[in-house]
Amino acid sequence: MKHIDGRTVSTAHELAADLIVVGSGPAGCSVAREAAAQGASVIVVEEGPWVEPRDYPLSTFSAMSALYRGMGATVVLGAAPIPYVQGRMVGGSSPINGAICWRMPRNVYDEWCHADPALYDALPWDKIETLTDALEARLNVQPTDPAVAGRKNLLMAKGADALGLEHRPIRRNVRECKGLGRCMQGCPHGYKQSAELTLLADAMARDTTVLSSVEVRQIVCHGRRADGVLGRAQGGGGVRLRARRAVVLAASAVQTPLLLLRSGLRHGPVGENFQCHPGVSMAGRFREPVRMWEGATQGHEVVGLRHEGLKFEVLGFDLTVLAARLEGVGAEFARSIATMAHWLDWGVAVRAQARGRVRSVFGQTIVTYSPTASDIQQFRRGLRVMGEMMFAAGAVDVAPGVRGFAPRLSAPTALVELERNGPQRAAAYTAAITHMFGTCRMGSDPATNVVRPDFRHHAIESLYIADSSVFPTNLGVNPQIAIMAVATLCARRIMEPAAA
Amino acid sequence: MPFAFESRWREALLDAMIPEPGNGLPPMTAVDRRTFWPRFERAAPWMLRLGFRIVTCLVGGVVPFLLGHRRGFSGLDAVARDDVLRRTERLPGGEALVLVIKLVACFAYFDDPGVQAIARGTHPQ
Repeated sequence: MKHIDGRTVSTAHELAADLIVVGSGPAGCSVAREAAAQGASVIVVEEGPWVEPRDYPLSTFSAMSALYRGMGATVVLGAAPIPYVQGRMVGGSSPINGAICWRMPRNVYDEWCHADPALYDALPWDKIETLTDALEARLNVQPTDPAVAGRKNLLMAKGADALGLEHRPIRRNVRECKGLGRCMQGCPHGYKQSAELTLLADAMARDTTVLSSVEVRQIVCHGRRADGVLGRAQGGGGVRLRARRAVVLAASAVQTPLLLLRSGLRHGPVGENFQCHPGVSMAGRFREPVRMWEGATQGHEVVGLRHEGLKFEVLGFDLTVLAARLEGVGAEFARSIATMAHWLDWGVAVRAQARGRVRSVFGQTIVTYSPTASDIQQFRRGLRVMGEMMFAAGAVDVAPGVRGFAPRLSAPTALVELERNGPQRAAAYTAAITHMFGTCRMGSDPATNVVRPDFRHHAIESLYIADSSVFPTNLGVNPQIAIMAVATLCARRIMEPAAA
Repeated sequence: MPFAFESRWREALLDAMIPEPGNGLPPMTAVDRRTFWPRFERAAPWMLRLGFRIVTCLVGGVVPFLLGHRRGFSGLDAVARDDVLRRTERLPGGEALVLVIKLVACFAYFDDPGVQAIARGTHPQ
């Protein structure tokens, strides 16, 4: 086990390994674990810092400043500036996500393979299932324990029951969770079984070195072969990493295409086909305190409308984000803050149709993305259902957070009006983006895909992509387990003798 | 780094956004923001930093005059500041302006350990 902190690297550094893995999120950790288990030496290089759980801050601002990319305030540009949220630390987003685990949905898998039958062989369903079983066991994926759920989660169950919608405790990768409600700031006790505490730890027990706080700036190619990467440590030193077998990109659906573009590897639709799960939230006020910041951060979900592309979740915001969601300004806003304990926030993630693009413009990351009219209709539908569930659970009133519409609604009838005649423009909605896909799509045709079905780049040998950027479409569910399973398959491809 | 007049406006805007919550929570004026701003400048993405500066100049410097006041935001009394914020929210596009101020105010306010402790223990009436 070896960790090199880039903040202390002030002189030139050169290292070599069988695999150079760029990114230490669920995909990078999965690749490292599998390759190391098969006897390869691995270097995992991560732009963000290595942070021990005991050092995770309590306040949202401090957590976002230290652990999130762009303080959690990076936005897509398009019809509306919608924030997209990514972790920037060893573990990627997994230390600061809601710990929600979903298996790869069969219907999505079939869509992929129907569009490109080569994927049936490249991603065998039975192998994905077997890998998922093993990953769920390693990450201790279990339904949320009602003892730590807290009122916010139990109220969603009550509301869904009243509407006859299928719901369930969220299956999460936690062990001995005490319901601190701090998943989004990082669990200070390490109860969350995030990628770096599990998969990366397994890899580091073998021949894996982690370089944190080192930004990879270029993929080094000789002819059609990727030999390594060049980077810059936060301490100022240049870093050169040589790959004896493969360079594996696992830096996310935003950072991976950017690295390709900055390296001059523009083959195929790199950066295009950006897909995600935009979501909107509904706040509800209850007569009794619900203390949203207590209990399992995200412990309950409604899956009864998944066939419509809608999945509802309890949101786990801390005080800061909940307060910013409350209405009013000045004295009125201050009074709202004093009643925060009575408010909770639920969200709906939409399996959106829109496609966007990731680009680098003058060195800055630009993601353009505009929800379609159909996606916005889904926002309205989701808000209506969430509001109805909240009223059924006992909410006194609800705040849909839709600009140009009533800020607070006191009866379900107004929700029908919101669904039918709510604003058409994306900018009217309090939305956020999580789960990004598709910017280095996998497929047989090099004209329409960036990597081959075996994860290899279409133009560059020994360059592989393992993260969700290879997913042909979004999933409609939280993707971390599916990403881990697919990335493990990628590592197996790389380790096959034929690949060498 | 912001100019001195921007600093005055942004402090006044944050103070006015959370004046007196009650329920044991302190006003924003009681929150020490000296360490907050350098961390904000370092961590926030350029679009947020730029956006906040523009919002600060608009709501701190331009809107008060448009609404008939003869001073910038930091020169107004508490009642006038509250009035400017409320009326700004009703202007076309104004909701987005105050939302940015509100978000930054919440970052600063709840970053204070004292506020965190009180808020987490608060049982509203």
